[in-house]
Amino acid sequence: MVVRKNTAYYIKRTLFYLLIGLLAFVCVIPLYWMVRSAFMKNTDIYVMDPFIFWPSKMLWSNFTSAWNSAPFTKYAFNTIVIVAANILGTLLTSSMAAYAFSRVKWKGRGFCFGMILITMMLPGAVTIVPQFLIWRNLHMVDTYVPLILPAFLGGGAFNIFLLRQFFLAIPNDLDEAAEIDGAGKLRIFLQIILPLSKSAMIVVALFTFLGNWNDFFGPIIYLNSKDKFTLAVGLLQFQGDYATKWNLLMAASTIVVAPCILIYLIGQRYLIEGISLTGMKA
Amino acid sequence: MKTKRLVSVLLIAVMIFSATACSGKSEVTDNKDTGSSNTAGSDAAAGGGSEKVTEIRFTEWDGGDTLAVYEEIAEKFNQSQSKIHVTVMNIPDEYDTKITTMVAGNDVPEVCMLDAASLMYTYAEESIVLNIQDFINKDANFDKSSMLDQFKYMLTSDYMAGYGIGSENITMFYNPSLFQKYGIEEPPASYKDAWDWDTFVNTAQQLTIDKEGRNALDPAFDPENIETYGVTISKWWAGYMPFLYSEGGDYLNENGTAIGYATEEGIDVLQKLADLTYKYHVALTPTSSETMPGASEALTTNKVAMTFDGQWINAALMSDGVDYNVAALPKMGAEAKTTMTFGGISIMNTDKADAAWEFVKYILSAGACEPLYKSGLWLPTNANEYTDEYIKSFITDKHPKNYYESIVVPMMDGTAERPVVATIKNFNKINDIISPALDLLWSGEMTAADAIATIEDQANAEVKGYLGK
Amino acid sequence: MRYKEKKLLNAKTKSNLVGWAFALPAVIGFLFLNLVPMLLSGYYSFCDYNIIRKPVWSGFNNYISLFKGTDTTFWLSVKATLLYTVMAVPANLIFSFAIALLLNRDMVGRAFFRSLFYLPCILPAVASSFVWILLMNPDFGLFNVILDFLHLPESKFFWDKSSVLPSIVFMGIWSTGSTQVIFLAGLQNIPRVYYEALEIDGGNAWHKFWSVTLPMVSSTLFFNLVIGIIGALQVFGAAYIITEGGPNNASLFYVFNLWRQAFKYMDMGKASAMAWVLFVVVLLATLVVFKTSNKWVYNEGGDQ
Repeated sequence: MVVRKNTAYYIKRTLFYLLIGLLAFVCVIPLYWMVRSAFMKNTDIYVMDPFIFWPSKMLWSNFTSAWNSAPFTKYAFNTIVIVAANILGTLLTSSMAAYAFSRVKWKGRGFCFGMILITMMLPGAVTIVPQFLIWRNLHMVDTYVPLILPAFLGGGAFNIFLLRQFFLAIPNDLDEAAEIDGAGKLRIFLQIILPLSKSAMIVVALFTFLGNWNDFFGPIIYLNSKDKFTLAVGLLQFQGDYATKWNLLMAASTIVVAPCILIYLIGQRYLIEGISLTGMKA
Repeated sequence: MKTKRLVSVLLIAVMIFSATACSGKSEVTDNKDTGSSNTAGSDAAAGGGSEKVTEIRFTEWDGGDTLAVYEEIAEKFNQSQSKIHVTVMNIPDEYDTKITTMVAGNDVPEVCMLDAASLMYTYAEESIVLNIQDFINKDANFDKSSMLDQFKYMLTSDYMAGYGIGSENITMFYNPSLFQKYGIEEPPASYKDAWDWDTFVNTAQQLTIDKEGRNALDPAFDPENIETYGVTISKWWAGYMPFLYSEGGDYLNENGTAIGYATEEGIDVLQKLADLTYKYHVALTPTSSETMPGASEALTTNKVAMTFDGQWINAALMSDGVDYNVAALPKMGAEAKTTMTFGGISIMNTDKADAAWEFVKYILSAGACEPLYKSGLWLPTNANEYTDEYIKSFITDKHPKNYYESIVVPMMDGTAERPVVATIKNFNKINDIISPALDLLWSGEMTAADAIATIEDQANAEVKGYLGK
Repeated sequence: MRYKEKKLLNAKTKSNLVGWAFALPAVIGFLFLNLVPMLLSGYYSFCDYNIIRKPVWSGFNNYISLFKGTDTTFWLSVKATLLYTVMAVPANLIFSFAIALLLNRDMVGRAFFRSLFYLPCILPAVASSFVWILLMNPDFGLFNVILDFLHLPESKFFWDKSSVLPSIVFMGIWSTGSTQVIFLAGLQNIPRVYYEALEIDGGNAWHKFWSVTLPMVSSTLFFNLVIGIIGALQVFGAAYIITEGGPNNASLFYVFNLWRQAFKYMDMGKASAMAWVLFVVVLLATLVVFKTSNKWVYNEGGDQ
């Protein structure tokens, strides 16, 4: 875009940065407060002086005592296993389903899609007991199977629906042209749809990562042994019914969140790449 | 291209995998009948064989130091004998949901800490929680006198659904430096000398300081800009029950047919507590939620001078090395009172119940939970632990000065009443009707009388009387 | 498509097979993980069921008692949830779309800003709710300290029945990072040529937004709207973690109430009935959105 850079332009730009800066500032407050608390004595957390930006004495020891208060290294390993398997499964099966629901015509498509969509509409509180019964009868409780297998069986209605919407937005003439060249549906899926939907796939991977990284409900219901717990459950262990050591909880949270931020930073770079790709091909 | 080939191989693998999972599904229905009996069979084998170790699970919700102590107890128990092996199962959140699904899934843990109001009594009514009395009667070695009536969860007069573990009570915490700073006499340690309400309010007024350094008795006092509050109160039942007891009331009326808050005493108690915030401007706005930066932290940062809260806060204050003290709660009526709170341990209906009883006996035995008495978190629930000698042995120099007088003594001389969750039928439903109405009082929108009037009939309709009778 | 039909007689069958093959994992997942539990909960809704005893058929009793209002919390929670939905869905959509538009512009430190806006979503619920409670504390929370500093009226946020829902909505819009990202991805899938074409025709920024951006993200917008409605009607977290339904039931969200019936009062029959009532409402709302979508959602690959 070529814009003549006059005074009006600079004023507009400044206002733009002010606006976005202000909004971003509010977004940072929770994280800032969390990290700030992680370095403090428990009793200092509640001093609400907005002009004290940083604790005068940084308690790095909070991080080590937080990490050592539970087998967090083990938890981290467990979490990585679950998250990785979920990403793999979800990317594979939800994109397949989304492809079937958007670009292949088949009998029962509308019905099946509808059925999958309605699974989002019934609150989980009433299906958790029957679901537990199923896994229990399969002798899968206290294993990772109930936490991983669903990812390989569609990866959830949300992801299927999301990818379907993205696939629908891809112009039809692309696969028509490929079909004229004799490409089958599998090849169109692999060579046209998937590459064009890179940014959507990244989004799905990102959501799956974060969703599983922070999920504590599934692990709490399906896992019994402490040595199988995940990081999110480990964080909850700081919260007793009694006094919580908030500073340690915040320190542990900071460590747990760090990889998420890193993954997001990497992921969003590919999001940008997504543009240039579609921009070129279309 | 290589990656694409890989992807297609994966795709096919997934399709096959899904097909296998499909056949797995039919297995569910096939196994439904045999599955549970199979496990039950193997369990029985484990329990029956004299050489085999019986595996039992103990579920509890506390993380942190409490979990560590539980694990230590379990470890010691496992070493003390060779027939039973107990594993502590920590459920840090969604506790009731998890226990409920486990019970529904016929995967019942053998020993559970249970919330009396939601699970314990409901399970006892369905015989999923067993009667501890039966085990006591069978066990000749058990010292019956070690159990105190006040810690028993009684469904009926002869059905003991659970027993208290880790007793606590509501007490007053205060910041002595603020009292010294303004030259005010510190609150009395013993409930026998407890302040009457007017003295307490007057003291709180002297300790509530605005931005300009004026106290709440000063005509120019600015209630919009308070720097230090005189007191904080807590918004759950344990926060107001001590005062209702003090005025001679209870959670229900005497016949157990109507809620106690609707009585003259009940209304008076609630109004007096709300007046601390809205009439005298000496108390913080009462807010709910345990995640709230509590009273204890406000205390240490000179935000408040006094606070009514659970004695378990000692653990945090002591480990943080805060300079504070405890005192008797003030009284609204003739006698100063407080209330106990404690978790309950129950034996679940499994074929390993006898092993479970062995562990319950062990965890309730004198001295088992000592590290938690030493940390200030808990008080004993075993009668044999309430000897002067033993108590002195667990009060460390980190405990606040008045710990014995203000916190331990009330447990022994009847000043602390039993927790209402242990004694009231249908407590959760009644309380969930009352609490929202009280929000109108705590936010200053209504008087206590008006707030209670909005729900009195509705709450009374859920009243089912006292338990254990 | 037309071309193919002429070419092969069994193209239809083949297409059917391909479709089923691709959808197979998801369909099996549905049958295995969802269908049976859903049917069971449907059955429970017609039963007296406390999760311990065997369910006993009780006909429409659970439903009748809900609508008759014997338990006043039912209608209270309906009210709280509808109010929240009406506020939260537009607020979240507009906010996240606006942020996505801002973040899609050429700017210095775009990656940095994008990450900042996603931050609130990343924090574990325990940590972020702790911080929000701290910030919104009526007596010494940071927000009131700032309001006071600016000589603006203070608020009790979560602890006043008139401000609790707006506070939850406000807290919510900062965790719409996922919605923002979906919008961003949608915006980035718009081929640049469309804008360039419009530039040649002399279209201004508004034209670009109205005739290119909006139609091109309409399928993303549609997705976010549907998910937003489904999510808002099932809102649970804030009530569970922060307000416990208070003050005075002002945030007694429907699903929180339902959860309470199931796991606090042990009345799974009633909870299931509530769930299926909600299910019908959500389904109807979604159908309405789907039906009207033909009028405003533009799909390039539109063989719906």
